Amino acid sequence: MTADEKHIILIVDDEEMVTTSLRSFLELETDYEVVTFTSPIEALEYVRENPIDLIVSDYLMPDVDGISLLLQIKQLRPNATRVLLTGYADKENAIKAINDVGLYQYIEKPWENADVKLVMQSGRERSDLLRRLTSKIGEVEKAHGELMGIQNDLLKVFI
Amino acid sequence: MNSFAGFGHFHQDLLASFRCESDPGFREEMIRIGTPGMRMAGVVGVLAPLFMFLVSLLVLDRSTSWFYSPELVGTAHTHMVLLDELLLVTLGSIVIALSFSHWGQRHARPIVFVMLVAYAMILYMDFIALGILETRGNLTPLVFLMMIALGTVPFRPMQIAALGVMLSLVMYTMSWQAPHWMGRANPVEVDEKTAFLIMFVVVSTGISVVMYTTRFRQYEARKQASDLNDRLAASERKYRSLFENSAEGIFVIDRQTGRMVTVNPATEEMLGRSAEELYSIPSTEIIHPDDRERVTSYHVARSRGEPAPTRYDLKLISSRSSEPVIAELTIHGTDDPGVTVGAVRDITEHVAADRKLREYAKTLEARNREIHETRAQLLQSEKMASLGNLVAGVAHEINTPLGSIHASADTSRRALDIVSEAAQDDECQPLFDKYPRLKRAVDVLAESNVTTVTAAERIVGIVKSLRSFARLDEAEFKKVDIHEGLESTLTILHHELKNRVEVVRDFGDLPQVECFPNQLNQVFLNILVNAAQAIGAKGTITIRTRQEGDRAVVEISDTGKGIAPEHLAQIFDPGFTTKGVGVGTGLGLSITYRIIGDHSGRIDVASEVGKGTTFTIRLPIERNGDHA
Repeated sequence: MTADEKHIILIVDDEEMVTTSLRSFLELETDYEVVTFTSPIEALEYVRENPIDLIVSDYLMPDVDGISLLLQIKQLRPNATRVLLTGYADKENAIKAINDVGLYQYIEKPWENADVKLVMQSGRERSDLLRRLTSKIGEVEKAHGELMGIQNDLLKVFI
Repeated sequence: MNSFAGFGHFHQDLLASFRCESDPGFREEMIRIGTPGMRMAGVVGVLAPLFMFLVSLLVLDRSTSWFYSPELVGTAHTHMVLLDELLLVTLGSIVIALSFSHWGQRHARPIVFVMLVAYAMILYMDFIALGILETRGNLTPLVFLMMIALGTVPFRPMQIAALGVMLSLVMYTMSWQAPHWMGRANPVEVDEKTAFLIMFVVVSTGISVVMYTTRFRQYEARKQASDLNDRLAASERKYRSLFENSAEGIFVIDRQTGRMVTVNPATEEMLGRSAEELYSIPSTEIIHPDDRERVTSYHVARSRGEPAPTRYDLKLISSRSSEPVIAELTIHGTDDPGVTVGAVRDITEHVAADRKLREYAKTLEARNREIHETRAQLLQSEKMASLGNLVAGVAHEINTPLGSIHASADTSRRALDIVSEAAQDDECQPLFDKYPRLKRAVDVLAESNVTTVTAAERIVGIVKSLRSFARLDEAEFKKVDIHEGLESTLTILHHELKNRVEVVRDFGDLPQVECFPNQLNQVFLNILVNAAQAIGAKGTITIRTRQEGDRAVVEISDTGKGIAPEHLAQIFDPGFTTKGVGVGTGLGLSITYRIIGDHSGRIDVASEVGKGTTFTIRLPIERNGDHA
């Protein structure tokens, strides 16, 4: 991922007012590309097709709950930072699921915009780092593979 | 007796005499008194001929008599007379003999009747035969006999009349027939004799009527008296049996001596003393010392004619047991001012049963109250739980739109900041100058946004308090900050307190306290609501907290009207309320008390009417292991 490419943040909440208010704030204050869905199914379809940097999902939604959505996204895009948006009453359950999902952070409703911004930034940085790490590991493995090829060639030569 | 008053009465008596033997009692009596008359008649019937025989012996010897005609002495006629006299003796003897038999007794009157007629016939025949009819007084034996018979045998008047007619007929017929039988004419003026006899019969009939009816009247009077006596005796027997068999003790006290003079067996039984014993002691001695004075005062009042209770309970001393007998005493009115008549009923068992019943009732009441209390608490905790659920649900529901409003308002603010910043820019300045309304619109937007933000923040705070108050997730002992609980409760009560009640927070240093947070919040709510309600128009609620050893102390004071001293002891009782029906449930403080008890804490109240009330709650900071 290059620097000029926009980071993509996915927001999923069955309440449009939530997605709208979050998107308008993020669009105003940040340069992220904000994609919102009110249906987790549609969101999953999007994720299958497009890379994302960060996903913010509501916990309680019809059809698919936030935890299983994040779990599926984790499998699809392991490097995307996962953030859960919770109401007060579901906090306990959400917290219990943190380990299962590898949750980066949760935001409690009603949220503070400043907090959201902070979480987004750090989450984006985290996924950047992860991505960079992954690519570095890829490079190292590639180098390692090359080295192994050279070694094989050398062995062929000598043996 | 009245029979002599006039002929009218005589006439009535005569009529009565026909009826009176329809009374079986009277008839029996007539038969009974007929028996001695019959005997008398029989004896005279035997003795008279013997006497005559004796006389005739003398006459026969002396050949002279005021009785016989001298020329007949020693003739065959004389022998006939002797034979007749034997007949008469036999007749008398038969009558005497019959008087000893039942049959004879029942038929005394016809027997004597027949005897008299037969006697008259025989005697008269003798007289004729002897030719002594001319002699004066020669009917005397017969009259004598008749008189005796009539005097002793209770003939009916009609029988007497019939007898008279019979005798007259006998005499007349015999006198008339005498010349044929005797061969010599009757020298006597028969008509004169007969007239005498008829007169005699009429007179004796009259006398008989009088005697007979007099007898009847006497009989009736006697019968009435005897009936009265019987009734009296029966009634006495009845009352005596009532008295003797009554389960109530009945007694009579002589007012003069103050001693019992009559008691019934029930009294003896109740007091365990014999009647003689009771008569020998002053009646006050059987009254238990506890009641002696009281009862004596009643007695004194009564003897003075002053009003005194006539029915009261008292304790009596019984020789049967060491325990006094509890009795209900009733003083009965009596005609005799010299005595007091009363009745006592042993109500010891009744009183004991009553007491037991009362105890049961008390237990029942206590149980009832307990049930009521438990139910109320259950209801209240259920109410609080559902209130908590409701609050949590509402908070949850509000959260999403509230979050959106809150976030959007913040976003708008940031956006407007950008616009405002741009307005300062030289390039944009002319635009804003050109459209002053645009500048104004931006300012209005900014201003209204501030309002939106403030309002949203307020709601956020309320929702947080609601959640914290409900604390549904904390149905177990947790370490919490008491001050937080107080704050969230105050937020809940904000509408109740604002503008009216000043809340002073004097919070000390308190560690976290181990408790049921939602229950404790309920306690604070109850006390604070009461405080707010106690404050009439304006006032202050002061909340002080401090640590005392291992206890956390929360003191909530108000400047309200205070609690009356007589109510102070009751305020923690379930159902006690002074707020009136429909205002308070009267449960708040009892639940508070229970909750503090569950926390092993204590709650105290100090109050002064008109000045205010202070509730002091002391809670252990650390929970001991011995209570769940």
